[in-house]
Amino acid sequence: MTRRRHPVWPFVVGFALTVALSAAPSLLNRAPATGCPGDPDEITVGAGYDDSMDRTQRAVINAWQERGRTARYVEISRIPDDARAEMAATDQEGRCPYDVLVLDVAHLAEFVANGYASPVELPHPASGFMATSVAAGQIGGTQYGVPFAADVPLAYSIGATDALVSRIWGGEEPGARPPGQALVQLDDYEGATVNLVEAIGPEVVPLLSDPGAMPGGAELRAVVEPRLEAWRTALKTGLIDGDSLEHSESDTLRAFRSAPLSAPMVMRHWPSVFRTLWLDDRFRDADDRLAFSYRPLPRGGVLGGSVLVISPKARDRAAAESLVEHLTTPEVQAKLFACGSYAPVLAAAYEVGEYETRRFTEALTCLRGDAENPESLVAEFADFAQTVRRAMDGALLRPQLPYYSRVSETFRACALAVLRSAGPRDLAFYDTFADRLQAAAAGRLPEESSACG
Amino acid sequence: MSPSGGAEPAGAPAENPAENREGARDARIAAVIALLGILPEIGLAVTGNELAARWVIRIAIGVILFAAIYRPVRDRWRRRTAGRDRRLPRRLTSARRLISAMWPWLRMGAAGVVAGGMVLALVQIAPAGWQRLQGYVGQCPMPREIVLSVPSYDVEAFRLMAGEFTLDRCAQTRLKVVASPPVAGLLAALRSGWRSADESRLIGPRPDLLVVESRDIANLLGGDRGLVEDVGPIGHMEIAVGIPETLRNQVERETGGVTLDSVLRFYAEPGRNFARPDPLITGMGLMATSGLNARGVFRDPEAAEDKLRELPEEMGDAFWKDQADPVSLLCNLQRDYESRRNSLLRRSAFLLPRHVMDDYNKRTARFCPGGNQDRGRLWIPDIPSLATLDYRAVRPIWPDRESAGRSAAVRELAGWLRSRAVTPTPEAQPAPGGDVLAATMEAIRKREQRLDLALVLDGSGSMRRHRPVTVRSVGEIVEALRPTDRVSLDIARRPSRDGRPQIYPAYPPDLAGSQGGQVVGYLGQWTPRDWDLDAASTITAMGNRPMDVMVIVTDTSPGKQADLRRITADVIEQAAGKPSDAPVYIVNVGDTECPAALRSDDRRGVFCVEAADFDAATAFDRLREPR
Repeated sequence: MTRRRHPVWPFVVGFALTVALSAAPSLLNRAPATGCPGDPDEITVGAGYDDSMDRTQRAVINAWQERGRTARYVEISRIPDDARAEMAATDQEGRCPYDVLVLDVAHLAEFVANGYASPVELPHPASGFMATSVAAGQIGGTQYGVPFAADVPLAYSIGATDALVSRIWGGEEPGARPPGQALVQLDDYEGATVNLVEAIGPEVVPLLSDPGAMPGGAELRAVVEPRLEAWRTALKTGLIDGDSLEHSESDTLRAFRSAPLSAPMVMRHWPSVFRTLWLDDRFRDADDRLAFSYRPLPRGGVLGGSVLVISPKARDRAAAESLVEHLTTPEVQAKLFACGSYAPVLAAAYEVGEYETRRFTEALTCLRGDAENPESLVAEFADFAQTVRRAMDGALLRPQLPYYSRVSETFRACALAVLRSAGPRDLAFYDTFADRLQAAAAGRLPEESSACG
Repeated sequence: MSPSGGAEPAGAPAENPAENREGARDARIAAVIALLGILPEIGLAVTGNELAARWVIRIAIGVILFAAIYRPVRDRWRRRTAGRDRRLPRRLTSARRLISAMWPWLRMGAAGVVAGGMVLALVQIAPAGWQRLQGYVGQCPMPREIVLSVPSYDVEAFRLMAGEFTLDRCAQTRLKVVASPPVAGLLAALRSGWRSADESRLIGPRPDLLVVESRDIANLLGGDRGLVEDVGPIGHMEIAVGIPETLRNQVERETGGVTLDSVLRFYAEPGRNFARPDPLITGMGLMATSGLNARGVFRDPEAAEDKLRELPEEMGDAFWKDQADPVSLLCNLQRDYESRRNSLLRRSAFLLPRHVMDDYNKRTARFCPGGNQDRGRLWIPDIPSLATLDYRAVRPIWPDRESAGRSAAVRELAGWLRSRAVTPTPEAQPAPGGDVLAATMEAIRKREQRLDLALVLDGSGSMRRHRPVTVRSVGEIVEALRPTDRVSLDIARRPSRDGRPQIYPAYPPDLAGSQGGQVVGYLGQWTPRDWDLDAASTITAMGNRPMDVMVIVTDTSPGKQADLRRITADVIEQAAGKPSDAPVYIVNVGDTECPAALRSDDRRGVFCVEAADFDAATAFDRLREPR
């Protein structure tokens, strides 16, 4: 008996027909393969709104040109998370992403995990950069972001606030109430997360830095509860202004600027507000001396700021790298600092006393303004610069997690729940807190509402 | 011998056991293949993606199933008819032979189709499966970011829905829900690449999916080929008529049987009003107006628009902001419930989304931010809605980030939203489009009284002393604008003692509703420190800018080279000679009074007024004219 043979080629034809018919619609519907919109010789730089005086950052980037290449600064939104959404709404298969991103350091790990950032080499020797800024641009030991602007909080004070600062940020045990009041930012946004991390102290950062080894309830409670309880009490007794629970940066600044100069007050804020206070006649005494002081937070503030990220699909990588190099020269960094209040990432740009000899004319013009005694202003700014530099040396890095924003939301929701509570929370609450952090770090959404406790 | 099982001699099946075993095996194989062939369908159901091969695969499954049952049926039929004369006509016999010859080829072709479908389904399912596996054993893969733009008053509702859409152990999509720009500016926003008027900024993250309140609005946006792709309806919303409880008895008594028409006509009478969201900001307000026109409540769309504008005109400038969306409109009804202004609202019928009014009634005391009053409840009579809006989704096409994966994810989102749609009540009428909508839009645009304000700040260092007054004055000026007015902010300054004035554009012209707050916020960190302002040169430098009014906020540089008192004649000359006939207000925030020559309103086109005396609302209202 002969074994029946099954013909092969009808099988092949049927297979090929099915695959071809499936692919046809997507081929037909595919958008016409046009080039990227805009000028092909232009580097597009995506960023949040530049609200500095005179939009210095925007001006510096738009003014760059090299061998026929130019740069266009695209301001996306004033709201940081909206800007992040626009930057993140770029697929690997999309044709024309932003060539360069001015990215908040908090989101670097997410963008690296998504493949939106490519490894870069620092355009200048690493020793010239501030070490914490360089570390903030590294993920897993690889440099993905070139430091662009630093931000580290300071305590701005009216009157004598040493005891108050130690009590709020120094980890000091409760005792007699110090005089004065503190202004912080605890509205439900990323700013509250960094305030809470600073409240708890540097020990909380390593606790949240490994997505595979997030803490359990008891461990979490041991680290965060003492300081959160201290802040809860401070809010209750008015040592921290109760309105801080609804305040973001602009609200805090407004409250500080309108506060009476007779009572001690301390405000936690970024270096960018120094200029506003420094040039406000209200904060000058009869002898034209500053009526406020500033200092780093005792146990370190959380490093903010931005890094420059080059897309793996940048149309002209060499030009993008050249732009990044230009933006991190001492002269540009000094201009951004003096004119736009962006704290520099280069050590050289903190040496304000050398601006004259290094011919940083634009930066000096911004510092001098219309003052009758401009050199005293330059000297004051030099002192401020050294304070920011000291604060940078002790700055804390946020956990570098691909799901950082989800972890941050969860951490904030639970920690704020503690601050808003009538009394201390029990272990069951911290168990829930820890479970939610573990899920968030792995990118899993909570099964119930995101509200904690 | 023919390879076909059907080609063996007729009447011999039972006598050949080997053939029978082979036939049974074929049937089993066919059944297995048929079962496997169902997998692509399961795959499609899981992924939700349409494949072009869908019907081909179904046919293939049909062929294989037929193959599976053919032989047993044939054998049974042969057994039944054994012994009978089974000779077939010659024509049928040859056809049968042809089929028998073709059958193995057909069967193998069908198997190829099914195998292709299975591979395709695997390609579709594999990433999701891999993602789930990764999520189970460790960290979820990064989700795709999708930006969803919805009407401003629906942001919270869509955020809740977004939570459900992405609620999975490892969500494949991360949804960012943002408020759409005013409906009157949507088309312009799409045309300009979602940029501000001067193209210097995006107006927010560019949406991957844009939800508009009706098909007609979608058609309007889709008119420009290549800007958007209509991805279909995603839901419905009813515009209901709500009546403040205080007038319930009167309405019931006077209308003699509460019907939609009788209620609308009751409120069309003098002394009564309709409260609607601004039709230039919300598509809902536009469609509500169109709905009124379609029912012939008023003589014509112009008469309707005149009537509908009575309420905001009487309520005052602040109300233009309150009617920007349904929520603030309702909160206005609750706020200051006993005041005279509010009595105007208590005599008005509210044309609002039914679900928003229901929500307001359910938790009146907690509905509004800071609200703690349980007053101002609405009666929603049991009458048909004024209109039903067919919410529609369009996909803006951004060439720089267009990709097949993003497109598929966006369609999936639209499909999911569609699946959640609530069916409207049967008696609800669709919102009128076509000619009625066109006439309504025409009437609204004719009566629009938009004001373009160019606000100029003196950037000289002496202004630092007057910062509190300046901040207060600018706040009052911005407060006097309506959301659909435009405002820009420029800083005029001289970079050196002898330099010429420079105009630094801090904020380009944009809607006051979206930019007004930012302009005021900017002053929070404003630190002027340049050289004194020459008002005459500033007017010249600003002269070419399209505007309806220019307001310069300055301390008038007393005692300096550019002291307004010294250059008064020059200022008057520049104001008179500028291309635009827009008046110039110099708002004096300094300690020295305005020069007398600039204080009187004698049609010179430039006025100086002390900051404390400047009534921006009255000044601007005098300038408002229909466009």
